[in-house]
Amino acid sequence: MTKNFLVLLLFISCGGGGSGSSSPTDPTPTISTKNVLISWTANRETKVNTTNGGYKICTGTSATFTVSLASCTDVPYVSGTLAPTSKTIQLTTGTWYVKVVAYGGLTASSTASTALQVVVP
Amino acid sequence: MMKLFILLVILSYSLTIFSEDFVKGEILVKMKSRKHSTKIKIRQDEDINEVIEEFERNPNVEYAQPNYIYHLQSTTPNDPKFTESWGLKNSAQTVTGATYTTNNPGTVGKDMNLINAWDLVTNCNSITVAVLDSGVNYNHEDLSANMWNGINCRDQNNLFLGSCNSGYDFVDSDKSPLDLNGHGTHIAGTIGAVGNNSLGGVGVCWNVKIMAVRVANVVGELTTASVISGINFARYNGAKVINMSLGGTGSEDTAYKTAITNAINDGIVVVVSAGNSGVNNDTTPMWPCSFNLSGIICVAAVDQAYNLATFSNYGATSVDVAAPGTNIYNSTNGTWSSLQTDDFSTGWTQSPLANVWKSVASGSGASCVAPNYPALLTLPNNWCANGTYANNLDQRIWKNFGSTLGTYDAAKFEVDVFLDLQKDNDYLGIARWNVNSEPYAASSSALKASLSELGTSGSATTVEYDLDPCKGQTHCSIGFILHSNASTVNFGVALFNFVIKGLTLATNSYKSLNGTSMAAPHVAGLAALIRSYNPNYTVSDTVNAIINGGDNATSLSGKTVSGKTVNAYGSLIYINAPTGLSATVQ
Repeated sequence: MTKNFLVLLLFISCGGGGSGSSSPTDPTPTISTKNVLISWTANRETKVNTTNGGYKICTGTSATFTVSLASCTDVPYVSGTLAPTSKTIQLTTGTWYVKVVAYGGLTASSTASTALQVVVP
Repeated sequence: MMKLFILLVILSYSLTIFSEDFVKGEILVKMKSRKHSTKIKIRQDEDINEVIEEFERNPNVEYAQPNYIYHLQSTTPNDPKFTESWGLKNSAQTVTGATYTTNNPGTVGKDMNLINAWDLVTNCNSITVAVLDSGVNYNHEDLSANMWNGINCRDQNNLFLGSCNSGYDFVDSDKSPLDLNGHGTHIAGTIGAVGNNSLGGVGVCWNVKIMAVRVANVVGELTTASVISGINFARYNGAKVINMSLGGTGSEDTAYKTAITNAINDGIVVVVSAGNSGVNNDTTPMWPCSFNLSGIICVAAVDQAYNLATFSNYGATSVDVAAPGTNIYNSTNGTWSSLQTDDFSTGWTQSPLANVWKSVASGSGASCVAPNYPALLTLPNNWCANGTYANNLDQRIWKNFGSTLGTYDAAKFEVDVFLDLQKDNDYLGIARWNVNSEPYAASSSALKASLSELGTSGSATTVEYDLDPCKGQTHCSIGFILHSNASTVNFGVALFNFVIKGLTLATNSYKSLNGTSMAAPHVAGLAALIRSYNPNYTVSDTVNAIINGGDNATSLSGKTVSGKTVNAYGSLIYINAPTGLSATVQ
């Protein structure tokens, strides 16, 4: 289980956009990387929507994945009245689950959102 | 870079050992070869504890630790009575004038953690909290600066009223909701006694707008009509929180529930008390606590050690949280003085029969023995010998107390009552009016109560009634009536400890009180603090933060919905989980 997890994360880490390719004689399926726009409703906590606040988008391969063990993309507050509520991430072919966590200041963070299933063709 | 990433993933399987009060994404590492520690950035999504463990496995590392966060100074107000407010900061202090003797003093730290919360916010001045109660002494030294400015006041039907003095009085139908009971002023103080003004106590909010909505009279009586008017008044005048430290049993009141529903739909958090009968509200509903509405927070009371107070109602499905509710010290409206007591021995006139009511001297009679039995007024006249009253009575007795009330701001009378009547058929009437004659006959408004059942059988209950009609009058007659029908008689009535009291309003009065009435305003104040800190919060957000930010309490397990006491700091740092996720593969 741990090994599988590490392999998965390595894929994510190596992903840099564009598509993978295989030769006509290669029997393995094509694995590509796609841009996926993740959006959510803005939290109403002031501390999420000010300096040091923001969100994390975390991905896993099951709906019950643990955020603290997952690969996450930071979406920090930048300026204005709200922290960003969308972000494009890259996912490889397959079925993924996405959760978003809100955080504020240095010590406070929310529990994760309900997992959203994303199928990347 | 890739190696580091794999390393951090592996580290993430170890145990969590540190608290959250440190800078995320940073650790401090001291190498044995170096004089000082070095701050090292790590990925914010990695488990800091595991990273530290990994560093400490390195023999060249002397230590590794989180970059802890400290506070320069806790925010402590300079109000002299703050030290009495164990619910705000519990230092195991002994509360002055306490009447709830259990756990006084209590346990250090069993409090709402406001010292830390006030580091984040003390000012709720953007929030109006409506106190639906006996009014507020809006001239009080520790409240006047925090009263709502009713300069553009609207009535309960949303019609323009002009300027109101801090709220509205639905008892006397005027614009001056002055508190003639004391209950409402104490509640207002818990929510928002001015903080850090070197005077009196301190509220959960140091600055706030308190809207006084008088729905209860001098002895705390109120009706559905006055409460509904008060709720609508709060709605149309911009309240964000309503505190209702009140309740009643009986059937579900549809009009009452609708009014609260409308308030919640208008964005108002409604905080209510659970009740003080020590009963389960799940089986014996207490309204409005038991209304099944998500925008209501019903509050039980805990003592200074965070045990459920002995008087507090509870309910695993109806009572949401608990808050400090014993020996709560804060502002009150003035002082009640005893003006006249009476032992029923002289001056009482009865009709239509003679010698049916009887004055019994202290300590006399077969079962009314010395040394400590008080003077009584009984019906039947052989009550002390366990006699029974007659059928078909309408026996009255009254006494004129003249101009006893003088210039007092308000007056009431109290009497202890033993009552054993045929339920729903026979009753004890209690009346008062400004005449020198039997009061019940003088005015249809004279009757204050028709009691057929009262308290626990075999024990006495103290009742109190206003003397409003007597204020400023030459005469003030108080009377009792025993009415019986044609069948079944019981042991009847005995009255004792009769006293008339007068209120002198004051702007510098404080006292300690017990009750879920005192617990609810701690939560109402917290709701205001949360909504001030998070101006975009909805009712649902606020309720979530109050409940999820609380602390588990063993004594509340199975007694409330959450099993928690409220924690102001926990609620302020609580963040709701994001919702509304969507994904678009591009």
